Amino acid sequence: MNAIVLFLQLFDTTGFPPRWLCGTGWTEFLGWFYIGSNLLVWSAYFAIPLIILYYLFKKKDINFPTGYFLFAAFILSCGSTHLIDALIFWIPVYRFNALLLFFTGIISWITVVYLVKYAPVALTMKTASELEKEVESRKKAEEKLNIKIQQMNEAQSIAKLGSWEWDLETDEVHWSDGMFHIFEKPLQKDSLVFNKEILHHVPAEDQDYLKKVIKQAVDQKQFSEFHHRIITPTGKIKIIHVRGEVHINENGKVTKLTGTGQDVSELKKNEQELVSKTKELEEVNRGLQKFAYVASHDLQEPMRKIKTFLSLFEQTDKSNWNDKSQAYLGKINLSASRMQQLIDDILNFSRLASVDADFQRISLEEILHQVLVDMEVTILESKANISVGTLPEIEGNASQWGQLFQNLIGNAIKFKKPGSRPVIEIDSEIVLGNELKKEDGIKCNYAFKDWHEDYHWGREKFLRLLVRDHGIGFEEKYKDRIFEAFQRLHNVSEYEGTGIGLAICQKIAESHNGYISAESSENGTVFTVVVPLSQSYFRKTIDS
Amino acid sequence: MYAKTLGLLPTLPMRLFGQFLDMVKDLTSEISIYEAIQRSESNNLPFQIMIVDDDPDDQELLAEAFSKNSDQVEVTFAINGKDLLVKLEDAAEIPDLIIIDLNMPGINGFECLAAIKGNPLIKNTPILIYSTSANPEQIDLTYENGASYYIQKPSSYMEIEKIAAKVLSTPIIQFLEKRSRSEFVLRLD
Repeated sequence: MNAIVLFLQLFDTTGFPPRWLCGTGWTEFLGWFYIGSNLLVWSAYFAIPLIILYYLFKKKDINFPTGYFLFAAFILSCGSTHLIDALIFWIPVYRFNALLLFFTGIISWITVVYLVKYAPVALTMKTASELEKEVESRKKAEEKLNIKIQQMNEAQSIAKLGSWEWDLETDEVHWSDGMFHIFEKPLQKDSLVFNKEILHHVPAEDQDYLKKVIKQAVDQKQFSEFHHRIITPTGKIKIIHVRGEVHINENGKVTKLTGTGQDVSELKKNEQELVSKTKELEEVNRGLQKFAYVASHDLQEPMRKIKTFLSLFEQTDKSNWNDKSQAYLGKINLSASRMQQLIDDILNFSRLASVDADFQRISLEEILHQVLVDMEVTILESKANISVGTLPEIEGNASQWGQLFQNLIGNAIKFKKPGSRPVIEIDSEIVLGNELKKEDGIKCNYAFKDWHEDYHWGREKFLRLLVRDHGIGFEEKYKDRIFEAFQRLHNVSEYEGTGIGLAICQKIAESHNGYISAESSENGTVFTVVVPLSQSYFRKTIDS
Repeated sequence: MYAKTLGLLPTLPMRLFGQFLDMVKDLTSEISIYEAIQRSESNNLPFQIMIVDDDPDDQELLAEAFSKNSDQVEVTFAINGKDLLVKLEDAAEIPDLIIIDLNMPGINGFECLAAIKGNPLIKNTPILIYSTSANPEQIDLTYENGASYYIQKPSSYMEIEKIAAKVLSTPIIQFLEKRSRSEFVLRLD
């Protein structure tokens, strides 16, 4: 009721005398001083919101704009009360003044509430100097980043590498400078569209393949590296090696692909050349071995003839020959025999290389037994004492192993200590790959054949065959030379032979993916042959 | 005349049958070729050996070695596979033994062996392989294809003579028996 009266009589001055007439204390000076001071406050309080509004108008992007507005309203309403306070000296609108004071109070409290609420946030805001510092450090970071990007670009350009990012949702592809260099496209900052700007660089016959592997990566959510070709604007064909990964969002959808592209044309070219050169070399090698085989095979015939007719010649009547003729004939015969032996040896040696051995499950014990039977005469003549331990079954070529045993035993008998019987001990053990010595040739043998890539040869079982004699041995420095073809450590007059026996043994060990080595001391020589028990894995690798 | 003819007629088949029985006895008995030809000297049937070799020296040396052992041995020659096959077709009698070299121009020893063993009329003729090579693969191949023995050509005439003697001292039946691979290569003791 009172409130309605207040509003109805808002500007009604009935019952209130103007302030000049209130009481007796107002002097002219005091009155005007009071009025002047109020107007001074009001004018200032009127100017402040104007300046704030101007500031707000000029600086559109500002924190807490409501706060500024509230503050402007608060100052403006405060100033208004001072204006009314001055007017009341003439027009005593106390009701209106009360209302105005009320509004001022409300706005003031809203401001208070606002300040309480936002003061903590405002406190966290950076001051200008703080901001400056931050800007400085950001600048430094940016510089560093630029250096890094530059380094990356340099590295990419050296490696002929580029990186890319393909946003599948927007279908935008971003390339590093390296990618542009590889494609020999002018640099561009904007994103690329795969189908429009990239795919046409790929030769038509590779395009379906490229689309297929990318689709596969998205479908399977796994990126497998692949190669494709591109044609540069200058018409050069390059081979690109692409590696990458898929990015999956929380719904399990592939949203992005990122990765690298590398120009491996040079590498591929070299690889190709290496393959064809290797093939060529193998071809030449095979040809040479075949030649050695054919040549020695054909040389056999006339050599045998010479020997045969020499034997007939010797049967003829020698009564009218002098001693010299006899001696010459003997020398011819010896040389012919030696020539024949050499030819036979070359034939055997080259046959090992030119024929792919047939590998089967074989019992080394049986093979050795047969060899000992075949060599019976030699063994009996030399009174050799041969002891044999247990030998396993392995995967190998029976006739090659027969030859190996025969050569090693023959060797041991031949190089016995003068004046004593040959003593030969043959034994074997099974060892794991990782128990073999590091420097053992076998590891290189496997590594060379890429076994290390996917196979732990250390788990493979190997046969270590030991053939020990108590013969004359050899000097340490010759331990490799003795396995070379036609290398001899003694004169023919001392020990007969052509020096191919151990070379054949080495070839046999190698054809079984193993090796042979020899150690010698004053107690004789130990030949060690190491071969895998099974050839199956090796062959699988070759076939694939 | 009539009686003479009559008298002869029944006896001819009987005589032929008798000779046939003798041959069967010879073939199945354990007596050596040498003994067999000694015994049959009276009926004048020589033992025929066909030597197939493109090398005239080898032919000559081998023939000499065989003839030296017995005059009842008749040696004929073929200079290559083609020649052999033609001669076998024309021959009135099939040789008792064929000795084949492996390395020959045209039809080589392997092909000869296969051709003979593939012909039902002559497949039971014993075949000896006589080659310079000691290549195990070649030995295996001839062994599997039904040759009787493998002989490596020696490099002295004495050994050739020994080979001839060894062959002639072997019962013919033994050539037709299957033997193990290790006994296939003929050894001179």
